[in-house]
Amino acid sequence: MARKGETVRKIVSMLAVAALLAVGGCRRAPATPEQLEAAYAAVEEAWDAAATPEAGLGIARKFLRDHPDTKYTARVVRKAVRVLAEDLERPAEAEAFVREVRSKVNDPANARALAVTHVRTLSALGRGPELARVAAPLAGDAGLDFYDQVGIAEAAIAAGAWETALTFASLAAEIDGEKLAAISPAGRYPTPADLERGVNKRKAWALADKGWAEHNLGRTGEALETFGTAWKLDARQIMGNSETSLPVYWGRALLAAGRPAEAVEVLAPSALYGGESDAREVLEEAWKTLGGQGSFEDYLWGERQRRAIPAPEFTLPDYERRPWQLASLRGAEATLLSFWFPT
Amino acid sequence: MELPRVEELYRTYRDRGFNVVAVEALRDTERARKFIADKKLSFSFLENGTGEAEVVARLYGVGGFPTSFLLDREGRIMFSHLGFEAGDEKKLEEEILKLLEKQ
Repeated sequence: MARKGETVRKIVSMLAVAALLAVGGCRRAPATPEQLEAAYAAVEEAWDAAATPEAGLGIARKFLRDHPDTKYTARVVRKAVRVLAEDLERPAEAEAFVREVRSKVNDPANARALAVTHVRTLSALGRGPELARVAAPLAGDAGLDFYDQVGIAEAAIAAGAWETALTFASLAAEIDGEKLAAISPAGRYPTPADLERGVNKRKAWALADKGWAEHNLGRTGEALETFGTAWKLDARQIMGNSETSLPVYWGRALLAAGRPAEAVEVLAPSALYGGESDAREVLEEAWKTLGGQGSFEDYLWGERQRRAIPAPEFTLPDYERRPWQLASLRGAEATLLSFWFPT
Repeated sequence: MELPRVEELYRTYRDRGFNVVAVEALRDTERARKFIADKKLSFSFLENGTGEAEVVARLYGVGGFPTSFLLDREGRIMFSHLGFEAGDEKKLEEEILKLLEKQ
């Protein structure tokens, strides 16, 4: 059976290549959905098998020339941009690539997706004003989802386009249960409480970006309020990693506002227990502002001891169905408690 | 932290009092057993509970996996870690050594 499957796959891929050539050969006649699908499948396969990244890009360019403005356009462009910007480290060419394809696209979904990609490539080049111009028309686009919005906000933050960051982070922060369900796989949130947690987590994420934009626009009072709201929505993990930039952004804003003691409180969980280097850096600044003396490493160790909280007790079954208690660890010098899933 | 890398640390430091307990968050016990056998993991494994007994999200507030907490002799959380980037095990090893040496 395995051998037969292999043969069938080979034939299918040969047919796909034939289809690609056939469709490519008669450019004027629009491809049928089946032809287009086959051509796209062939491109994917040929691209993955390409000897060099450049050869792969050639295959992508040909596909985009032969089939401009199809449902595969954005996907092909995103992959090409990844290859150019990340694998080949040629971000300027990535930007030019998207710009060129964008100029030939009319379909609204394609125009939107390519504009989002264009924003990211401009961010990588630090071209804030241009990024703001490309992003502006997207602000009123109802087809943008949470990840598009927060992605644009963070691209804008990276390029220092603060007004754009504020606009899109504010839009992203309007996420609700209905919107989240629409962009999540079925069954991802089995109960209303799960859905609410998912919404709050994303809202906090967007608000962290919003607050950072406000702070950088000189509206630190508003920013501190925004950060406070974000924290209340997403004080989830008991210690350590926050998963968002909230502690770092909030800590920096508090420090700038002349409130270093509060900055320490905000930064402590991720800087002390998460080992996040950005948080540690800002904490060191806050510590120095407060007149910290001696070794910062010693201060960190002392604070960790002073602020440490006990791991919550629990009983769970092991794989032989015997109950196991956290308390049974007494005597171990150090224990790693790991939450995982098999990959 | 990737469990096969944790296994290496476990073998290195268990005689000095380092312990590992892994809670499988999705209750995919069959796949978990296979993974444990394939990777020859020798530390303790538990199943996450469901509903009110669910430890992962409700008690520890863990949103992403893998997430690990390093506990000291008194069962206090001294370090936490999310993800499995290569090289992270170095950082974890440093933290383990701090606990084995300093307390």
